[in-house]
Amino acid sequence: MLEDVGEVTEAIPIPNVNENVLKKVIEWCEHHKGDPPAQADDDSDSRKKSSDIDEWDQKFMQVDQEMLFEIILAANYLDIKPLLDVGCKTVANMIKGKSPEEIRKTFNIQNDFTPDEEEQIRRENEWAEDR
Amino acid sequence: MASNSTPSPPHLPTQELKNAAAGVVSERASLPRPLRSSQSFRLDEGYSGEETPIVYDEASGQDLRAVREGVDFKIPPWMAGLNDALREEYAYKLIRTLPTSRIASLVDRLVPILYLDFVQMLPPELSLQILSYLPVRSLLNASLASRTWRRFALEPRLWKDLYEVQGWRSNDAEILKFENQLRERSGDDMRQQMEVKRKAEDQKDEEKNLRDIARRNSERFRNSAERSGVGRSSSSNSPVAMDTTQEWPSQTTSSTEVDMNSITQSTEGLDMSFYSSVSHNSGLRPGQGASFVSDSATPDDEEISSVYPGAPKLSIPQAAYQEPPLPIEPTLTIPGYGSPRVNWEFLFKYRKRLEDNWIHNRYSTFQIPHPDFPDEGHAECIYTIQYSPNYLVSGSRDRSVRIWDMETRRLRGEPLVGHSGSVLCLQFDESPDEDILITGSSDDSVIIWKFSTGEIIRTIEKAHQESVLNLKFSKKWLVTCSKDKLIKVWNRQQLETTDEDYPWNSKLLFGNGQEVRGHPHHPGSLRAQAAWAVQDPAASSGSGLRNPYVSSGFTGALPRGPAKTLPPYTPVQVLIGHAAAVNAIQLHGDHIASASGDRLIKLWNLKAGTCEKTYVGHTKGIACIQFDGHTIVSGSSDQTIRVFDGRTQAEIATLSGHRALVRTVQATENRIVSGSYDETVRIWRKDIDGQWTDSHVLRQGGPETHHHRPIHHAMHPMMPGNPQQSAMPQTPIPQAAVQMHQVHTVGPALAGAVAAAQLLPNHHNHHHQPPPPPQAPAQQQQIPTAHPIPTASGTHRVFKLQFDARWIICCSQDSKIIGWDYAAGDQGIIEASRFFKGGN
Repeated sequence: MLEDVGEVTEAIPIPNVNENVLKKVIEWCEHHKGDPPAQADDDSDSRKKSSDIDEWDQKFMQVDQEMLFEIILAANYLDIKPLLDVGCKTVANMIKGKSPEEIRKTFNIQNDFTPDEEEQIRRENEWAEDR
Repeated sequence: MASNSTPSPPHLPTQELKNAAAGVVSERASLPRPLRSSQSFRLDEGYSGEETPIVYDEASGQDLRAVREGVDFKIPPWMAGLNDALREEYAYKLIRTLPTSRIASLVDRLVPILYLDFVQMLPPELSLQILSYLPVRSLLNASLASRTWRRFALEPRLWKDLYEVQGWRSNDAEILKFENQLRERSGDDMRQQMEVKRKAEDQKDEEKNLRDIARRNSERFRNSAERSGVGRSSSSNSPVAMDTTQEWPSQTTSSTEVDMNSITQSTEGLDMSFYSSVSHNSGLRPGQGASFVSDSATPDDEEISSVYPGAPKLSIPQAAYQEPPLPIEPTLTIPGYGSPRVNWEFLFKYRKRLEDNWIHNRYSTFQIPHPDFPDEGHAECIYTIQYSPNYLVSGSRDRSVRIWDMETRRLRGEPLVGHSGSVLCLQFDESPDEDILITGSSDDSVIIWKFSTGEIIRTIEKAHQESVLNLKFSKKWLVTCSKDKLIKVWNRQQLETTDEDYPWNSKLLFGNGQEVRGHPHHPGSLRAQAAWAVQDPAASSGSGLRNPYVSSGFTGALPRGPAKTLPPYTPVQVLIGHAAAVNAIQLHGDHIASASGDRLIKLWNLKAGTCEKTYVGHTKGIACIQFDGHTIVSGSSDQTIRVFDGRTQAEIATLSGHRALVRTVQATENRIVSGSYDETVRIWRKDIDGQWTDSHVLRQGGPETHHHRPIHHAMHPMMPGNPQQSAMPQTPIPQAAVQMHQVHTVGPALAGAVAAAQLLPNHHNHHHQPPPPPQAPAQQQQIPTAHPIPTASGTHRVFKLQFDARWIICCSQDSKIIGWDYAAGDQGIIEASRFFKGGN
């Protein structure tokens, strides 16, 4: 990735990725530069959808939400798929196991359902329980 | 507001960006949009001073907005020049001078800086990627967070993935067809919209101007955001950055109204309700925009998406432009871009319900013929059936073939009469390009029928020397097998010598090792080998049953010599090798798997005419076989079902449970259903660790005495895979059509419990021989002998069954066909099941 273009003398313009975020991204790339290339990116594999994240990445992603989402945007923009995946998994793990109310709190979401609607949807969603 | 000193156009980008985040403007989504840019443009909201959700100190009567706006909040330059740590320290000190209630309200204002509703900010595809890592339960919880979240969480693509992860299969052709129909249907609506659109040409121009302004502004804001964002830590001397952090939170509610206010000022004459209605009709909604449904969008659609709900849409007050909420209960379709799409949450929900019904043995039963029309039925027992979503075809000992309407369960037309013996096997394809039914009979003949009319296209008299026991066809080939120990391959299309499929390797046509004149590129040596002499252990081990036709001059009687055009249904290969009747075959591509009374399974290469592999395992004759290209599943007179790895020939599993010959079997990856002369149908499940367990037993004789039995609920609310619980002896309920069956597990405790159960009267369902553990060849040979085979009363021996995601349909010694419907009357399952595939 970045090391591929390391020899290029001209500056690579990276508009819209701010310095702090770029620092984080580079830090991540440095740490992962030795990683074996991703196995043929067959979607069927990613379909297993494990949201496991290795320990270093977990620590790396312990940042405030703004930074987290900036990293995701930057990874998307710079097309660093493994980092994008780690970022998205990190957010997914922040949702997992939470109640709707906890999810709202976690992401400062305005609840725009009426109490009635909310109750109806909650009841409808019970189909997912084992019966 | 009077204090609104900012010119109105700059408000546009606010909403435009927000819409981009919600996916309305697709091209935006792929651009990087640093979050700070979205912070900074919201500073306008602060200046505009419209309603903000947080209004402090109403009690004191103090107008905080006035405070904020009236006072110049410029941070003194000396302070702005300090580094982060120092500013933080100052801020903290300052905060500590406040009363606790003020601190609390400050915290409230700070929370939105720390906790971000990413669905509002990230491009939709990234939000979707995040949600794609969630399991079902979490996704449903997320759907309750807000309306926008709900639209994201119910995105069909997420549910399609979840569906597939379950190992469930879908009828993609049917789904495609259905969505095309939806598109056609909504085409009319679309045309109407086009009409409206043309009328709106004028407005469009105006609108273009607006969008240009919007774009310019958004770029400008992005740039300024860039500067302020990057520079905030070091040289933040602009009020912009400060106000950003203050006012960002109020985005959703306030910004719309603000924008509306300003837009109405600047876009006089714009008919808001028009745009509102367009956005509704086109199915566009915030948070579910063109970017991830655009694959179905036509160029015209694109235009609508980018033009109409663009800038002007922002200007509609929130209450007006908000889409009607998604229905509480999932429906088969979900509004999509341009036209509705199949709602995969709906499919998921009802597939799960259906699978739960299989697990808990909830079903309803039916019979064919319809009970009100018993005269339509066969006169004698039924040896073979096949069904499709529309038709079921049955072949009987009464020599007739009957075609049934699956919907009404009524006979279609007259019975097909042509065979002079029992109809033993059949296959049909009702699709218009095939329109064919082929039947095989104990009269040694094969008849090819036109499915739609029932007329005989062709009769192959003496297709074999004895009963035609099974047949399978593909587009190219018909394969038949017989009591005469042979398998024959017939071409279905006329074959020229130039055809790729011309059977150059056919010993039947060209004899052994003979040079074939006119053969373009096949060396003669390839054909010089007699397959049966070399590759058949049974034959070469002196069973005395080697090919009887070699010496009898059989092959000599068939056309040999120069290659010539072969008319349809010419025998092109005879596969010789089995030492007893070939009871069943399965055709897969160019391979044929065959099961014989000689206890062997063979895998043949159809084109080469050679036997490639032999599978040894069964200890008695084999009655049925399935082969999917990888795995062979077979049922035998040794009362077991065996699963073989097609490639390595290893026996993967032995399923014991039946107490007589296993006559019919079908398998999917996770489910096997078998029918036996012990008058039961058994359902086997592959559990999580890949072990096959015997999960349910259906009694063939049962349903027929309880025709319209209501949904049957499992007598034991036990979960398969829980041996302790399942080992409990159960009291048979008189005349119960179904009994939950013990999950077979090896273990002394279980054996004891089963032994007790054995003493119960009328207890006829338990097989007490624990199945040998898989991969233990020594035990696999073991034949269950714990019980004498019950003398079959001879009324309900199961001859043939077929199952899919929803049904098991089964024919037997009885003249009625019995079906188990695992939809169990659930309308949602019934509606969704046409899109399901496989018996998983």
